[in-house]
Amino acid sequence: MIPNKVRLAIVLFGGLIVQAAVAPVFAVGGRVVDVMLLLAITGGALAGPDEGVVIGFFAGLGTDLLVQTPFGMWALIGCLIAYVSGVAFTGFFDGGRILRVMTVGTALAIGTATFVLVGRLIGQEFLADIALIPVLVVVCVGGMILSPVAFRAMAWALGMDRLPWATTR
Amino acid sequence: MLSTPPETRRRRPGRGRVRLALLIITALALITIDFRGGSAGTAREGALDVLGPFRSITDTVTSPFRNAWQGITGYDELEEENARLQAQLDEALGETLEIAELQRRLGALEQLLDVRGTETQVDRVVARVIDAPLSNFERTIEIDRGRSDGVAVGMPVEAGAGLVGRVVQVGQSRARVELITDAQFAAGVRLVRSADAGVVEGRGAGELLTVSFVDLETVVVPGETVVTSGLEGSQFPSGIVVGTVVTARPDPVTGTQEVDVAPTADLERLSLVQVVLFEPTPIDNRPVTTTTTPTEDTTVDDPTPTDPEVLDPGITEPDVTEPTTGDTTGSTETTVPQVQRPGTDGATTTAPPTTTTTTTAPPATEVPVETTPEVTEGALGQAEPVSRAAPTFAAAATNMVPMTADDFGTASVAGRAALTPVPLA
Repeated sequence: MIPNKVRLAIVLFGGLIVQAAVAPVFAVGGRVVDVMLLLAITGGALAGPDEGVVIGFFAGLGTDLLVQTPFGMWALIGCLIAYVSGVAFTGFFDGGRILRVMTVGTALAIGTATFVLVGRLIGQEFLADIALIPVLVVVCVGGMILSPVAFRAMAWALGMDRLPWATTR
Repeated sequence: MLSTPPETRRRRPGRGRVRLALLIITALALITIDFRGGSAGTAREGALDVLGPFRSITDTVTSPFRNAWQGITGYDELEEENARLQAQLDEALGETLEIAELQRRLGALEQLLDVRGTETQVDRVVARVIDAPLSNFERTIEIDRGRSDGVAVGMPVEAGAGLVGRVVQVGQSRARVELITDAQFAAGVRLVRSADAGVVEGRGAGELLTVSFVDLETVVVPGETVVTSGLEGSQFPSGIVVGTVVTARPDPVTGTQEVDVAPTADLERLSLVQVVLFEPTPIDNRPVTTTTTPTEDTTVDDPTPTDPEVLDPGITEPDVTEPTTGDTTGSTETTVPQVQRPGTDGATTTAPPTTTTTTTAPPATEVPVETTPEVTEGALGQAEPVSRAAPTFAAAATNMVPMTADDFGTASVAGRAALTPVPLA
């Protein structure tokens, strides 16, 4: 029996590899899906805000290792969005698949936009020059498509036999 | 009906907020440490090495899918590009002979004037691109060369068509390259036709580059080539092609022009690149001292140093020492100031001197033809003695790409300071 923390580390490391090696392959117009942010959101949704913030923090820290923006920025966004996701999903478990997917998409958009906002607040002026709309489209659509896989991976990492909403069907 | 919440949700109220607050503080602390030059770079280099093998394997496995995906999403572009490249190839074949002749003439001139070209002596390492950009907010690629191959942070990377970017992170056998379209990228450049200098900056994926601080009076022609300026302190050698001008527009705020530039290198389909093993020369803030000793040993051995005076937070300009005539025999000491502007190439760049060297000529009868002024230190970046006429020409040659005499003659105000035409005869 693999401890949940080890499972979680495996999932986050796997997400890191997917983000670094697979996501660029399927880039659309140079924009890529944000796998680690997706894992932070699904972690928050499944583990709840208490545990989700930690998952989100480490997922963001993984992204910080890959990019050149100030170290800790994605960790900050990760824990914030995981907390928000944990709170939001509490009421959406029985809302149906479409509502859940839409919630993930919205959370991805909020997380990405928050990153730009926080970045500008701490002096990353170059973020103002980036066309945000295309980024949001790719991140949200790609994340919504991948969300079922991310939910299942995160459920395995958290030691859940099945997804919480599976019992409602 | 609400589903049964997971076991992990049954926590004490408020615990999540406390944990969130602690993690936010931790994240902010990490950001602060990174801003203060913490060891995040080491962690990132470690991640580069650890993830490297996984990425190589994934790259090998996914390459058929990648090719298929690119074929699906970019088939029309590929067709157009193929036609365009074929036309360019035909044109390039004709230009090659002309360039070879120009290079031969340039080499002969450099040999005649004992001028050494900077860009021709820099070694290069060929690297394979093993990764595409992995973030939406920065444009980086990964290459299969690292510290063991002599690659270091800051080195320029170019493809056959022109500048690709610069190395921002180095592992043992891998390095990450920031593309020129990255919004954090900046480099000192020069317009080849006018010789006017500026700063090129990226604006994100799929966007044109922007060259700022181009003199308002400079005539910028669409299609004009933009190359790295290679000014002292620059992280790039001179003469690397960056792109071609698309449009220019006045910037009423700065009183200069902003020029949109299309990169010549195809950044979306990079497979092989070259790392230019160029180490920038450190910036010399000391004033240039030129001493002439035409007749007697009257050299002033203790030149008055001048400290830079801060004009504003962004620009540092040193004092200008008035020319001090040593005595009536003609000993002259002149201080040439340098203007430093931050932000270029990620390092301070020294702009062309705003005050040219002035030499008080001794009595004509006492100036022998073979007088050899000593250039002790300075912006020219040359330690060896040069002739009286050579300093100004050498300054031009240090930043030089193949240009004609007309190019020097049409230099803008900023360029003219360093590119003063000097009769060769």
